[in-house]
Amino acid sequence: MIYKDYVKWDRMPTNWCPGCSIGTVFRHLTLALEKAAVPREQMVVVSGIGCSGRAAGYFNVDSVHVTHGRAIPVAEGIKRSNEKLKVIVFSGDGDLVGIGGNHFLHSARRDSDIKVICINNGIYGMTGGQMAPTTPFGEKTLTSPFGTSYAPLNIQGIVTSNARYWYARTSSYHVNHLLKCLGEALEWPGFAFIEVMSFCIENFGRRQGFKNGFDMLFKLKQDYKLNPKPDGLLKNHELGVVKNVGQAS
Amino acid sequence: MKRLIMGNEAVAMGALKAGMTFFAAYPITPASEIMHILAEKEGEIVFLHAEDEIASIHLVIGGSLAGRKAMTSTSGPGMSLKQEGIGLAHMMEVPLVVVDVQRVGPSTGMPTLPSQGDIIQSIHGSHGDYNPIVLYPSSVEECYRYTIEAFNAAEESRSPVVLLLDGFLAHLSETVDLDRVSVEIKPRTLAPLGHGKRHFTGLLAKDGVPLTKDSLYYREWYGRVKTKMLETAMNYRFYEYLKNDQADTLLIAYGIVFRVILPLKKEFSLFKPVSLFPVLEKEIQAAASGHKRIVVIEMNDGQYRGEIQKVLPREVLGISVLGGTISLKEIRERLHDL
Amino acid sequence: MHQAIGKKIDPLITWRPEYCKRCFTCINICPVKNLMFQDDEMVSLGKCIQCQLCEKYCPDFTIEVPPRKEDKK
Repeated sequence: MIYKDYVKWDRMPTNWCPGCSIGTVFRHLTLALEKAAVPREQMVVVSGIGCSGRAAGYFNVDSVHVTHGRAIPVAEGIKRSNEKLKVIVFSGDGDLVGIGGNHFLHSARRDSDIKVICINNGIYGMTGGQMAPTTPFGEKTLTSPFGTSYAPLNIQGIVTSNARYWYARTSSYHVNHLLKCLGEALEWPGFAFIEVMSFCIENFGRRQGFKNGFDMLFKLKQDYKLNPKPDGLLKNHELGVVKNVGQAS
Repeated sequence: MKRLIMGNEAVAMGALKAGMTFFAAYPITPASEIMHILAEKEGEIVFLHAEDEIASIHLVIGGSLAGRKAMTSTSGPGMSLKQEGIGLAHMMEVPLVVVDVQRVGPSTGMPTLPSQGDIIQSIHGSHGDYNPIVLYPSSVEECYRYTIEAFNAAEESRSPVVLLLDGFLAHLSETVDLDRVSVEIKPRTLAPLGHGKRHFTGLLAKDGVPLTKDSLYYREWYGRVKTKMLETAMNYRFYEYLKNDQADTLLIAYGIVFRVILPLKKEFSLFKPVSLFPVLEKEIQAAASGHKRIVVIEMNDGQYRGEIQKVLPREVLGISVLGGTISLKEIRERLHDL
Repeated sequence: MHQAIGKKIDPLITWRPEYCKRCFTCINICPVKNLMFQDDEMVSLGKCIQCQLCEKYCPDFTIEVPPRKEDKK
């Protein structure tokens, strides 16, 4: 099976804005699935609400598109109901760690065997560009017109506070690293969380002065550096994988 | 074999009998016993103690989609939180059962006292239009029987079915012989996930393709779903009518209230709907026809009376038993004063 | 349904106008500045070195470039 078999071609083109990097991540997930040779009949993609939430419908596999923030519990329900299925959650930061924060916290704690791909663009893009829990400090958005006064959520800290974890931070610019992380996550027996640093050009980038999607893609290249062997946790602006196979205590 | 069984226990046993193999819930008085009993079955069934009420209903949706008969249990405050998932299950047409053991509200209210305040919430709690099937037993044996029927209705209609109980009934212990209850058990109707290309979505969709701006398709879709629900509900019309030829007054009551007013059958005709929704229009109209007065007695401020008023073109009186305590003496006096 | 067939704008490059949103990511990412738009049509200047960056970064499965022969093995 090749990557093209995982895409519903009659639904193309996608409804994402020109230059949006969700499509890049989507493409690399299909490549990772091809590499891992996951049969289409043995996998399910679940997504929540938001731009990235629409991804579920573009996969040519059984997919579920649920309400805002509830992708993780539905995915966990599917996995616990049928252990044979490989369950992938593909959603955004506002969906997974904002409104669905509690579910994220507890599914990670229960180490449920789901693979969560979180497109972190630091904004609520689909609703017009409101402040997200991941918006960098001081950024102006529709709901923080004077700049956010809160620090962004430390997703790595939440995942790695468990006894057993697998966490990767990658970016939609570093596509080879992204592909490697996706492949590794599909193999990990347990809760795997990939935070893909991304951007929203239409509802965030333009207000910051970026002209097009590529400018923001290039910013990711400047901002993030790969750290193949992190010593402890990843620092800010480092990309890499941190994991711990320790048993739940 | 006869045994002393509690209402909540009968619900759990009924669910197991119906073939339920997926249960997720969050502890809440007065529904927790259902969880306690099913927790001991972990291994035989998938049991999950969820982090919150919203997670539990969504876990159940996932469990049902992946091929198991699934149930969750809660009380009024939890029911309010579950409404999001109930709406989603109606949109995606996922069969499941929600048990709501009612307590006095709003909000935390009187947690340990019974009420019937979730009648409207059970049909209009989530936004948008949908037509759920709601069952309300009134004895421990009925708890068992109608839990099985709720699963059958869920499978046949492919929708979330609400089984209402009240705190009183849930903790009522009766000696019953459940082996003698025989109900046909319907098989699964939803093909489990793992087919390769189906798309389930909370958006309005046709064959898995969202059609979010097509008003005409919405009307067609809603008509189809409504017809399906009403037609399925025709197979689940449960009620009890105790006609008294001397009586000029018909008392309508359900759940524990019916049990309390049962001694009044010597003076009045009694009607007990078990299928609360869709409303048993024909049966209620037929029962009402020979009576001068119709009185609905319930432990809320006239929630079901309003629904009956919609199907009867005449005045429907009501007695509201509020605050979680109920006595036959008080009801008798208030009937006298009407 | 299968992927759109697309156009050969170069012996090496296939472009699918049905999927293309004209985001210009491919044009900007190309290290040899091989791609450009002319009258809303993508054209190749024939300098392609088959690095496949455009294919990798295209969010819409629009461009396809075969890998270099020596990369294949």
